[in-house]
Amino acid sequence: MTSRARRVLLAALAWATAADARDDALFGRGARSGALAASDVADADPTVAAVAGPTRASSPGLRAQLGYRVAHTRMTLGGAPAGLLDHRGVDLDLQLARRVGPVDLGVAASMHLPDGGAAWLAFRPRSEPVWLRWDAGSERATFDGVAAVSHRASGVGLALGASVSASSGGRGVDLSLPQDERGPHADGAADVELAYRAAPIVGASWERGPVALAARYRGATSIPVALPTTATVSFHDNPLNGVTTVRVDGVVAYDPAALTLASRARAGAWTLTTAVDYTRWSAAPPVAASLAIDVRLGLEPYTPSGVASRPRLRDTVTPRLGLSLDRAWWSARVGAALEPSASPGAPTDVIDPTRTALSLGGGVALPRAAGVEAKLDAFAAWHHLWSQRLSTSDATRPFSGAIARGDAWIAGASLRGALP
Amino acid sequence: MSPRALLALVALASASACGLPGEPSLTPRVDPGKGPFFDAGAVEVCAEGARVVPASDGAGALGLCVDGPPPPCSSTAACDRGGRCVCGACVVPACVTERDCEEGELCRGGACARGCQADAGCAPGERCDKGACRRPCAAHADCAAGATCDTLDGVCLAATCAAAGCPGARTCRPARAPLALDEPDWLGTPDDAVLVEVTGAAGREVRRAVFTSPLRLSLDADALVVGARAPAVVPGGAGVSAVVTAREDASGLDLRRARDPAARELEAPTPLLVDDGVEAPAVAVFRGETWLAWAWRGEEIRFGKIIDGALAPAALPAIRRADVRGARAVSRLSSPALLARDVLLIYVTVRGVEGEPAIEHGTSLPADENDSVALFATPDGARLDAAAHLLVARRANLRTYLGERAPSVRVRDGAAELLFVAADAAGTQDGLALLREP
Repeated sequence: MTSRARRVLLAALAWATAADARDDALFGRGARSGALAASDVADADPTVAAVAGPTRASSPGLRAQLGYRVAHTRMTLGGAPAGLLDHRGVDLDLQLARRVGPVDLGVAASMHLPDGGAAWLAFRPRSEPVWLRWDAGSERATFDGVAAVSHRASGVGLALGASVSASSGGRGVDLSLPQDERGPHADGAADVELAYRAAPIVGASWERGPVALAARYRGATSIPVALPTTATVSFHDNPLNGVTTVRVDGVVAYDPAALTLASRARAGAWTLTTAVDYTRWSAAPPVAASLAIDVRLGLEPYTPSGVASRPRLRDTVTPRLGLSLDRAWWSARVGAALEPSASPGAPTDVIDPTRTALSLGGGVALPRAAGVEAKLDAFAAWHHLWSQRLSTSDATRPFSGAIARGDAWIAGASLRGALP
Repeated sequence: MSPRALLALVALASASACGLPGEPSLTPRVDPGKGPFFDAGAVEVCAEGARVVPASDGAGALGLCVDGPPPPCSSTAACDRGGRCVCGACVVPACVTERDCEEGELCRGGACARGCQADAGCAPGERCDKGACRRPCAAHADCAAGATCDTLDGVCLAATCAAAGCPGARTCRPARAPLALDEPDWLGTPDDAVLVEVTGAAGREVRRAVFTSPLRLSLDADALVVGARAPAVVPGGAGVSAVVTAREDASGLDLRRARDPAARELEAPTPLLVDDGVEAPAVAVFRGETWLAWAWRGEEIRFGKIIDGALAPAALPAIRRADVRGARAVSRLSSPALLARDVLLIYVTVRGVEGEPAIEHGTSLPADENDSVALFATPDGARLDAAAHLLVARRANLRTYLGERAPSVRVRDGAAELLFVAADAAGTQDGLALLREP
């Protein structure tokens, strides 16, 4: 490595990057990115440009990728299994770019579809710990799209796009239990609206020969929830007749804004990728949902309500490192990352252990068919979750003093196809 | 490995990994004793085969005439001929008042029965007789133990023996024992026993009782201590080392060493604390020290340590009424319980206003007082934390709370069980009941 490249690498490592609650950011994108511990921002495969390296969307050609990934988290809380869900889902990626005069223009789109549904949402009592990125209900369907342009002579690329997710809202559930001369009967309606929300994706890169530098910014996303449930009961001589409204408002699966600075250096068949994420967890809204219950009977009791307080998280800086060896028909990759906890210092009930990730993977080129260059990649990663003690200031609270620890295993495979 | 072989391997691995994720699961319970608690049900207390009912209604004892020992049972499903499983025996459900019966039942002729207007309102195999569902019969053998066949009406009626004896060869078997139970405390012995304060016609005494099923407690026939109240078990060695009791006149606490690990016999008392207004002790071994808590004049919960059979002061400050959060207008603190975990959990009976006032036609209806349980904790024996809410809140409806007092807490299979004296919405004692963490 040249001294200039070394300086660039050190400068890149001095920055920071993100750890987001999205499945993509937790476990990487595609088998190649996963094997490199998501350090491939400056050297992303163009098919995953929308998620990994936005400016790579301008790489000429037509590419598609189909992948599947499973992540199994074995976290314990106080020695008992935390019961977190496995993350499993299909990744679909598409990229198209062509040369137009002195520049390359392209677009890329990526979609993650978790098994079993568009999203898992989970609300927990406020007396329980706050799960941050490991919440079982944090996986959701995502759609990211970017458009990119790069100037071939200068090696400068720019990209702009958006990450789209859905919020849940609507009129909620309306349940009516009236009674007439034929007896009680039930009327009900459920109205759940899934409104789109978008967060910006911005990318910039510079490439000259074996060296590339890149920056990526992703705005914060989350799933706001606002669902009322109204039950109207009107039975003869029933002391509980009346209207009860339960309204849940909150934000789940928060994915903070993140700025990533990254580099790539090639030497022969070897490629070194680095990235540093700066993730703005400090802007996180209350993780838990607020809850309001309004009971209106013949009598009029109070309206109990509760609003979760802000979690007071701290921003994190995550270094990532990847090394790959690329031969004519096969590749081997390793990666590592150290992702510090966003949990504030004691006292805290936010569970977010510091994480060390080690990954290993490889790929093979498949025989060309109908002019399509195909590659098959696979990876496996181990994330060690360092021991974290919950220390609340009140010993009467559940889980005060409980220790969270564990690990996560991630594996995935993806099939890439490209038309030059 | 060839590319094709690798492709096949990866495809196989991906296919085997496919599947739907499970339902989101709740956070595991790792800190038992801090709730939330869920209603496990009322505890059926039995004394020599009779069901113990609260003595507060003034009704007396009742027996049933039986031909011999009734068939044993563990649940009513095992009983036939209209019998109900009461204290482990299939008998007719005897009663003196409706409070002895299950919800929706009437007390008619000494037995609980569902009210009715026609046969259609009764269970299959029953008949509506004078407003109550009865079992039809042709002979005594058609009726459950404790019942006799009224051959004139052809229905089974309870054969009670409250005052007179039983006809023929039948004997009078106790069915209803009015006793006031208070201050239960888990013994922690393998036989799943508790000590409980019992007040009946013979006066006040402490008895040993054993859980014969999850919600059935069988009282020993003999008193362990006479003329004392509020037993608190001192753990030690392989079982119980001693029992602390409060004096009937609230003049202090006495320590009675156990002659055996199961506390079936106690030695003579030695004074532990002499002070006016002392009630309801509780004991736990926390970090190798035997901690004692007691209520004082309904105003404070005080703490000390038992060292070599004598009381030593503790640095932990007393809990005062103003320390309670989650209840308003707290008028009394009583009957603490202790549970030693990584912190010392302190459960306190709090009398105050738990509910909120209601407004009807512009008029405010203040909520009633009731007993409930508040949770405190000390991580180090010096600092005291108070929970922001009452630990137990059973409700009769959305604004009427039931009473819970004199708790005793133990941890079993990783979850806490809270045994307490239950009261109805009016504050009338309802017997013992159990709450359990999920």
